[in-house]
Amino acid sequence: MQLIIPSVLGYEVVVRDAVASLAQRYGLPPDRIEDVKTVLCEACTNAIEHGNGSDPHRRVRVSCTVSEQSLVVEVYDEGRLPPTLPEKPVKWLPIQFPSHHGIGLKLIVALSDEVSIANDPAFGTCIRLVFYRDPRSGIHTS
Amino acid sequence: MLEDELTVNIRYRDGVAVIDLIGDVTTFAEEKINNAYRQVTDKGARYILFNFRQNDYINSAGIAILIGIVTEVNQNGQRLAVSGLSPHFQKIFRMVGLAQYAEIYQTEDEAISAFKRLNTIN
Repeated sequence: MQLIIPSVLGYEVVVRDAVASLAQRYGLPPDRIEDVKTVLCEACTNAIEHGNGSDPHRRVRVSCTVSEQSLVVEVYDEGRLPPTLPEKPVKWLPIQFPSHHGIGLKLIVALSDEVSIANDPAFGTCIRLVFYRDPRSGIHTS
Repeated sequence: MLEDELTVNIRYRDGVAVIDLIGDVTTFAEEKINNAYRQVTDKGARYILFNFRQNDYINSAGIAILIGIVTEVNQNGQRLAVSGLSPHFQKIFRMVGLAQYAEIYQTEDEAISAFKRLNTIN
């Protein structure tokens, strides 16, 4: 399944709902579908705002593939500066010092089974998200 | 254009300022949530409840707004609780550390009862 959206906030919810529908039919349990939804929204928001600079003419492309083992979602933007992912398990700092920098990336890493980023100078950045059908086949830590 | 615009409603119940948050809690909600918090604070609220509607969308920008609020709540010597969160967002609130500063209750009634007990003790 492939989806292409403009870089306009709000469209990430459309992607979320479409991928959630796929994840449900794929057989992920309800709590994992909620994780998928949050991760997808954060990845698409990151692509819209940071990858594509909220330029509505730039596109975000989302590609989903399912296999026996996993649901894989790839989110592509047209940016040239890939984000730096925090390490797993995510370290959540005390929140006395308000800063939302990095909360989205931390949620992405914490709630997905695997995350990786690929950058092609000619095409842009891709964040690849893996959700295992059977959590025992991967490491899911938050 | 596509977001479920947040509706914020302020009520007072048993000495608790209840702020209903109905809709998406995203970057677009910042002004409404901060205004509601300032409004109840200006009226002297000590106990504040953010009452969410299950299954609404809260993203990292929304979480950042709430982190800003809990910081002010601590500085102002107020108590904050949240209710109505789905199990998923309860998990996320605990994960990011918000639950250390805002008690999580399943329902508004449970939160109000807890505040009442607190008020009696204090």
